Amino acid sequence: MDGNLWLRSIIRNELWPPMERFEAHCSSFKTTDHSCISPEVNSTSGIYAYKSTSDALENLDRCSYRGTFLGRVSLWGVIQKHQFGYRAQFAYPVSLVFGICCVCKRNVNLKSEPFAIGWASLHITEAFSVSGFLCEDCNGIYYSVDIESSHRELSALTERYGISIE
Amino acid sequence: MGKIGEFEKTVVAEPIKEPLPAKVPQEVPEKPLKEPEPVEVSP
Repeated sequence: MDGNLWLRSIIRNELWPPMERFEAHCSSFKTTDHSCISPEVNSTSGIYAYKSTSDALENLDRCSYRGTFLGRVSLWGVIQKHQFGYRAQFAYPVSLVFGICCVCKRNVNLKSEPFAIGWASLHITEAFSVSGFLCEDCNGIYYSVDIESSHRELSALTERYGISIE
Repeated sequence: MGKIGEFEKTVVAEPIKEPLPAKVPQEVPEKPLKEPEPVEVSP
């Protein structure tokens, strides 16, 4: 896009702006009510977050989230509290903690384990292609991406957003 | 999408300052201090 890496919402395909708050939109795209505050109680709108790492690891759909990062976020504004997580009006990332391997879906601790980031899609079959975060084993088998350059890319991303790796 | 379970309650969190990272201030070159020029005053 502009040569920079961006954090992106997986569900809505929206980019998170660096150094600015990310804001939820109302669930109905047909609404003409501009005073509507998202997230509403009886809706699926809002910026989703789990209460804890264990809640996230137990409940998220690993197929949808493969190749992505897990991290901590600050939430504020109107917050709908659920059993395992929240739907919030505003959010900003605090840190990145885990990556989920896009091939084997294993959680990799960013601080203590080697990893790679493969941006080009690898088409294994018509129905199965992978791109994104890779554990060391799957990188060795399928990609052979330079690990040093992956770490540099991630550092550039965290610096741009003013966030850390935990 | 992952599951976040049953709805519990609505809360409103209004921080005094939004939790955004501090922007790195751009370096501004320091201006050299100018000595005041003498002014001629006629009697």
